[in-house]
This record gives sequence, structure tokens and C-alpha cells, in this order.
Amino acid sequence: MSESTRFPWYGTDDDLSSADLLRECGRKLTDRDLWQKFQQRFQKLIFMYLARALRFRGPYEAKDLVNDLTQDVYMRLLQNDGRMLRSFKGATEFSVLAFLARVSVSVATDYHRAQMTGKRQAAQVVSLEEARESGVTLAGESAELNVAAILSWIDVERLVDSDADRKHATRNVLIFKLHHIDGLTSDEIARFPGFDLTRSGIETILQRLKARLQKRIGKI
Amino acid sequence: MKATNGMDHGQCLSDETLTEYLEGVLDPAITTACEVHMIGCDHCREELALYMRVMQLNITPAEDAHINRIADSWDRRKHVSSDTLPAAWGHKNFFLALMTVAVAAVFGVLLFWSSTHKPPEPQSPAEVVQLLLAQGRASELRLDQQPYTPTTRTRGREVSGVDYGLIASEMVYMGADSYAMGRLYLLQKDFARATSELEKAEKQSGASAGVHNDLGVAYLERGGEINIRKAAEEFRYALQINPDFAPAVYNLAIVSERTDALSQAEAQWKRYLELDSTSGWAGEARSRLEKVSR
Repeated sequence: MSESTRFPWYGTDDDLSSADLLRECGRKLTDRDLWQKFQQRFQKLIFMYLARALRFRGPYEAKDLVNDLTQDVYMRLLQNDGRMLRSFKGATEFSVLAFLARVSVSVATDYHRAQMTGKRQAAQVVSLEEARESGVTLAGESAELNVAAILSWIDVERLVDSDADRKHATRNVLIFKLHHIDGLTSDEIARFPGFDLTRSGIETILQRLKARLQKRIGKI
Repeated sequence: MKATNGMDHGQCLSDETLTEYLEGVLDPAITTACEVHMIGCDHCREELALYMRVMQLNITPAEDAHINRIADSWDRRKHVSSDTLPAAWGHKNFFLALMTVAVAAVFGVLLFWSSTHKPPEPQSPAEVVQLLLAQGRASELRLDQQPYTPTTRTRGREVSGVDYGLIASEMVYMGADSYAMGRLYLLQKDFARATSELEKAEKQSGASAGVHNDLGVAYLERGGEINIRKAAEEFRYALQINPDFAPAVYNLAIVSERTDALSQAEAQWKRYLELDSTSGWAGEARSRLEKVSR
């Protein structure tokens, strides 16, 4: 996740690291120059995190909503004399991104929860056919093998136990589920240092576990 | 958080642990424990997947355009707010403005209070809360002894730029009880802390109708079916203590509206207007009664 330049507007052209900038902002809540730096570096990132979190939590359209919730993000950063910022312990760019993502997701989640509580909307029921017609990829749906459905009833522990890569057996099964149930691509998974794998490494794991599943269950 | 597939996989993971897992900075033993948990717990794995999607570094042209539109909208607000809303977030100098407004608001209110009331400044934590209540309200619900002011619509925690953290520490210093602290946290919109303090106040013997009412408000603000039920119970407790306690009737009517019990809401608004027919609260009750009666 060190390739932060992929965001066209996320700049670090400054001596102050992002982690130090966060902490400094927490210490100097009224320092105008420092907070301008904060806005220049992180504002659009916060917009994006909020917009994405809102989209993944449920449908949303209004851009004003992201603006409103951005204010809430600032509120949370500032409350209790900037305690969140001052107590930030991270040192890497990733830890800063993760910190801002946590605050943004939390604000979006609270908003979504309040909406659901306030409106008590009935869940929108969409048939599988309608979902397919609308181009929605159903989680785990695959022409030759419905892995998601199988994973819901097989004994996953046995899948873990049978992995020849004993050291990483749990990680591999987690990756398998993230791909087949949650719909993340191998490229998306490989971007996170926690998995410590390249895209091709992830694809190898996915193929190996899928082959083992097919062998175990038989051709569906 | 609950398990979704019936397996026993232990305590759910915090957001911090999930992102630390993604960063790869957890101890190897904890990493494996997290993986075992997420294999079994759909909820935590879905949260991990959410973070993975939110934090993707790649941005599509459409997404980039969307973010730029949001930024433009923010900038437009900034310009509007510089003319009309000095404390609005998004102002170029918004922190400076915030501090200025916070100081001005506190001193302005104190000056107003001192010019119109004796004694000249709040003498107790309860009076501090009362002073803040008079400034405006951000919720449609009604606290005990809350003077009527029109609702200020805001999603932010701090309605008027008041430094609640400073006031809270000052109130603790002044020996504020749980009830006063709970009410302050309600005004600050820190509903978790408000609930905790007001629950303490409620457990004390002889808790007043006001304590039950305000605890009900805290539950209702927190949201969720269980909290709505708890809120309704608290408002009813308040009415057991004092059957003519208008704030509880008012809030109970709002609970009925939110749970789509419109005939109950109608009866409660009518009951409220029997208790109070002249205040600003009565005006709001009348207009809500008209809506639920349609």
C-alpha cells in the first residue's frame, strides 16, 4: 500500500510525514497552516473513503451527504481536544490511511444505522433473476462450481487442516473466502501487505484450494 | 457483534485490529487467531472486505470525477459559509472560526445570562446544563426542563461551537452528579456516555421523572429496536412517577411515530396538548398531531 501516488490528489510533497502531520494537528488544534496541510493532503481521501463506505453500506446519491459527514469526521478528530489525533501511534503511510478509513467508515456506519433506525425501511427484496438482469454479480456465483454455496456447508476446518501449506493454512482459507464469498479479486487482495502475497501467489492459492474442494466434493 | 454461522469463534475483532491485520503489523500468533476468527465469523470477514474495498488505492475516472464534484460542493459551501455561517465546518479558517465562535458563544451566553438573571452566572453543574439547553436544540426530543427553541438541524456533535470537553471537565471539577453529566453528554450527542451516566442516576433511590425521561431520550437517540423499547419503558416510568409529566408524553408520542403506531401517537399528542397548549412545544405537538391524523 505504499503506492499512494495512485490517488491523483494524495500528495506528500512535504518534509512532514503523514503520521507526524496527524499528531501535530492533534497537538495544535488552532494552527491554521498545519490544518491547511491536513486538508490539502487528506480531504479528498476522506471524501473518497466516505463515498465508498456509504456506497458499500447501501445506496446513496447526494454529494452533499459526503460533505455533511466529512464535517462529522472532523468533529470526531477534534473532540476531547484532539485526543484521537494525539494518541495516533502509527508510523507508516498505510497506518495513516487505515486511521482515516476507520474514522470515515465509522461515521458512515453510524449514519447508515441512524437512517435505518429512523426510517425503519422494509428491506428491498430483489429476485436472483432481477439481480442478474441488473448486472449484479452474485457473491460466489460461478458457472462451473458454486464455491460460495459449498463453503456455506462444508467443514471449513477440514479444508484448513488439509492444506499442505501448514504455516499459512488459515490465511489461505481466509483469502479463498474473501474471493469467493465477498467478491474481492486477487489483485485487490494482493494490495494489502498483511497477506504478504503477490497477485499470482494469490491466484495459485485460489486454484489449489478450489481444486481440493472439487476433489473433495466431486464435480457439481 | 454476533456470529452468523453458528460456529463458536470467540470475540469479534475491532476495526483497529482489522486494519492492523491488513497492514501486517500484528504478532504472528494474533494474526493466525484473527484468521481463524474471520474464517468462522461472517460479520468480521465482511467488515474486513469493506475496509479492503474502501482502502483500494486505484480510483476509476468516474470515481475521481465524483470526488471532484464533492470537493467543488465543499468549496461552494465554504464560500457561502464565510458570509452566513461563521462556524460552519469547511470554512477556510474553520478552526480559527470555530475557536472564535466557541469563545464568543460561551461568553455571549454568559453575558446574556448575567444581564437578565440573578445570580449572574451559573452556580452549579445543573445550571450550566440549563444554560446550554437554552441555546438551542439539535434533537426533536424533549429533555426535562428544556426551554423551547426551534430545532437546529445538524449532523455535527457540537451545535453551537461550544467546547463541551472543557465544560465537562469543569463540571466534574464542580462535583457534577451523574444526572447533570448525562444531560451534558446528551447535549454533546455522546449518547453512549450519556446512557452510562443516566443509568447510574436512575439506579439511585428516588430517581425523578426527569431522570427516567432523559435516560429514555438517550436510549432513543442511540437507536435500534432494543433501545427504542427501553426508551418507551423509561418514558412510562416517568409517567408512573408523575402522570402529568409533559416531556415524557411528548417523547412517547415521538416513539409511537417512529414505530408507526400512529393511532397511539395521535392519542399521545392530544394528551400532550391537554397538559401544555401554549408553549412552543405545544406548537410542534399540534403540527405533528395534524400529520398523524391525516
